[in-house]
Amino acid sequence: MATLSEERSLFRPVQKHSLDNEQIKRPLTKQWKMTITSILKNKLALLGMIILFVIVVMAIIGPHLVPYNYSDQSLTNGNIAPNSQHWFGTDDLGRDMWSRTWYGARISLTIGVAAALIDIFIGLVVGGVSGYMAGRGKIGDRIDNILMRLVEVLYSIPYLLVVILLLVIMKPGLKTIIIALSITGWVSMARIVRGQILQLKEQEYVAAAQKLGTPHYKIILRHLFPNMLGIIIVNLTFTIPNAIFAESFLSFIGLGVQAPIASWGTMCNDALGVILSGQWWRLFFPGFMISLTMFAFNVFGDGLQDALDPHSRD
Amino acid sequence: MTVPLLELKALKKYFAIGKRQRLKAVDGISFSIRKGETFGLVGESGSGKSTLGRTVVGLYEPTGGSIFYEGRNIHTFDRKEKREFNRYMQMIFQDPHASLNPRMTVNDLVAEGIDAYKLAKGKERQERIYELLEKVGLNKEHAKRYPHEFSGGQRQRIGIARALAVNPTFIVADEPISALDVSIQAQVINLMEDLQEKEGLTFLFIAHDLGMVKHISDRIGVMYLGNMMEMGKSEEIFANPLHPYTQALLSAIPIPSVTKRKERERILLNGDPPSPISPPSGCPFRTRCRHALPICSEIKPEWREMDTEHWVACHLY
Amino acid sequence: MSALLEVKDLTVSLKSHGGEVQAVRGVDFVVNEGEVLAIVGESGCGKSVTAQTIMGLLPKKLIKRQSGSIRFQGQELMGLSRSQLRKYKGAQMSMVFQDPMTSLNPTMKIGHQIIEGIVKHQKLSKKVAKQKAIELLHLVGIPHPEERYRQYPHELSGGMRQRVLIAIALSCHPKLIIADEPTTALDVTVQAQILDILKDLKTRLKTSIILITHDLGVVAEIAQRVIVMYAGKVVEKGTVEDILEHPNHPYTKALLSSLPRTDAKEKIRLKPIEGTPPDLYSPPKGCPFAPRCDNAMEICLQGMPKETRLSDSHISHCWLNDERCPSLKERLMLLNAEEGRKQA
Repeated sequence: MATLSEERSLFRPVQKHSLDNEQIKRPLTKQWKMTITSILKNKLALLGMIILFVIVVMAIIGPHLVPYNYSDQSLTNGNIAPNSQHWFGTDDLGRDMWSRTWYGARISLTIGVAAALIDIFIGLVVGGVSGYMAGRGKIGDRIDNILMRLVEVLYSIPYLLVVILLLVIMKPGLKTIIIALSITGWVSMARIVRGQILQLKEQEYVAAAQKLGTPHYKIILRHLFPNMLGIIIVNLTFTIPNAIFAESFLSFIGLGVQAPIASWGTMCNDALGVILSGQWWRLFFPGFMISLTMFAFNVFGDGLQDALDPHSRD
Repeated sequence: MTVPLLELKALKKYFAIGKRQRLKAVDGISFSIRKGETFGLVGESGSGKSTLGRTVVGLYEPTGGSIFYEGRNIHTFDRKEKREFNRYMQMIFQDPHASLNPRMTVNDLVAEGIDAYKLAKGKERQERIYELLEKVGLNKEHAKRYPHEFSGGQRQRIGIARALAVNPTFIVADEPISALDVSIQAQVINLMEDLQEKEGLTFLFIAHDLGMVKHISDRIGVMYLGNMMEMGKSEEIFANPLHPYTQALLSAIPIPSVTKRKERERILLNGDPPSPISPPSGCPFRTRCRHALPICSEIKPEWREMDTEHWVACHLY
Repeated sequence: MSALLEVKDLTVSLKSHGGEVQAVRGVDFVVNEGEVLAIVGESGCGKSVTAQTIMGLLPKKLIKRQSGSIRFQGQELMGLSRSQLRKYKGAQMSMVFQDPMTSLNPTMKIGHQIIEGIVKHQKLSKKVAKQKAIELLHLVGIPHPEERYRQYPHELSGGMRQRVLIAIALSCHPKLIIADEPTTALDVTVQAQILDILKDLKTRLKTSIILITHDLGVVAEIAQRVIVMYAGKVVEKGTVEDILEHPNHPYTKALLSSLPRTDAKEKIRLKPIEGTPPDLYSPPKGCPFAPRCDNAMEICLQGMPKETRLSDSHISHCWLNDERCPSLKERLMLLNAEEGRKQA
């Protein structure tokens, strides 16, 4: 008896819930959450991120952990190897290397980030206008051509030349270095931005926006730039270490920031005289920091690129 | 006689390839579309049907010929009229992945046109958005989500809602279902038919799936290499195809039935379509036509009305 | 006819961002010598993953779990190492992919791509291999094969490229070709040509073909037997007459009635299948089609339907076939009773 009515109930028709069908069962996944998860899975990128985080933190608090200032001289304590008082040793003027290294971090990072950001801004504007104008009749093509020729000319000028020229005009220092690095650095970004825009312009949602009456500036800001964010951010992570290295190199050859301001590059320069006398800590710490920072930015940038690449999804 | 909603006269669209060559995507097309009808445009790759669609809707400037809207040449429109015309003519795209900006929420996507044309503000605007979502079978909950969370069919529906938001009169649907699963295609087709009735829309339906085109269209035009080969009422074209290309096209459609297949005559076209950069002289189809005559390579056939509303361009007639 | 390929209880789940995707859930089928088997289903049903598992083409790091048996000419393929599988891949089984644009190396000449496989598997000299390649190009209907041999992919049209892909697949005289949506990206007239070539190959060379497609028209053109997949499972299988003329499973029936018919007399409204296929991250424990099925019953939500043998060739997995299931009339009555009770 029981089995028969059980059976009948098993075969009872069930109402389709059509609304259920349209429901999206998965919880809202924010796009950047997915990006972060992807990076966290990439051990090397994670390492890079942690290293950068540590460096930034230390740049801020490092000098405060010791009672010495980066510029306090103590001629009697010159060139002491690392010990419990001076964790990184001292330089020939008795200045604490630990303090100077982290102070130098501030300088190098600031220059690197500032130059990179200016580069990106100029690159976005030039590349953006160029890319958007291309193909829009004769005037558009002309603007594109002029801007691209400018880019090509600047690309072929070695930046060292520009820096030296600028130094003739302006006083060497933080501002000059940043300007010098920015003037030639934006060209690669401009090219990338233009390429991206040329590609994104063909997307159907851009055509749709045109039909829907969206003005040009809004198309660029709303439809083109946000979809280039990935490339821009990734480029940042490569431009910054390049700028840091460039600054270090310039300071190393004496064209960079001037004493008493210390950047890693100047510290390396100062260390040149004493390498052969066995005072390894003078060159090691700033040199190692440059390498470490560049390494960290690069692997982090790599991981970020993989994470933001829409093709690696699904 | 009522004026047709849209009329094309000898419409041409050429693209410059390099310095010397031209791609003749659309090479002199003339026909008209009436208000409230669905005109189906079929053709294979290289036929120029997509280019025609984009030129009609205003995304491309015609290289030659003219477009008339409600009897007036659109070239004579002043700025205000041009903007209105831009709003009246909307488009639904093929690729559900590429037609929605992945960084915008559904709400913003649908609102874009409303905002650009300043059609509604504040509370009214939001209500209008919800209304549009419901019209296409979605609901309020979906407004906060991003395109990648939806299926292909749902994305197409969002695209339709977006186009409807600005109250268009004419919609060009460029292969709107080709990228969708078969069982979902019917959903979108039914939705389009319902909306046409409710909103009084006129459609230019571009597709290569002849089955769907026959189902949804009142009249059909067959394109080949930038030219219109045949045009007429749907049933008429299928029951009595006059142009050899149309005949070959119809015989190539696979029918999902074992018995019906056996009854049909098969016409196989040899070779591939020639390039639209250097189309054959005279009739563009002559290189693959089994009835080709000497005159076909010399003179382009005239576009003639053979029967009521049944037009062909072929020297056989 | 002996079975060339036997797949039993194939289960594959893949790793992805959102978790584990159970792409294939217990699939059985058989391919005989010299026949064309069509695997029909829509996106997400598991047909491509099934094909790639048979060919051993799934990247190892994507596979979370893999079980079941794949027997080719009696030899068990499941569990073989990459190098062992390679022996079978080139020589006995080959694959034709969907998109001819991306399946050919744009920087290599056509001829070179064809003879790559020949030289490797058959250890022939380049000269002899070139001769064979030109014969193959001729076999697949490419005019002026000697000229085409020296061309690059971008110089050929989509239809030509697909033919080259078929020629490459044939180069080692495989017993089995798996064609994954070979004509989806092509124009309808070119599709007709390609299907003709495939039919010809089957008759002349006695090659078996597994054709993966979503197009039931293509199935009618070329297949002898069909399996219908939905959400990772086989829901129905049989001869092409069984499936197209006497469909049993509600999904198969719904698929057929959602298609417009060019031979229809009057305009009838299309019957789409409402809703979307289930999420394979957490597939339902019952019949996967139940939420979209007009005839769904309680039992459909609770467990997978058993196999019902409708004839020698025809098998379906649906609770409606169970002998305890009430008739259509009774079901309608029950449904109305339900409605009445709800309103009261």
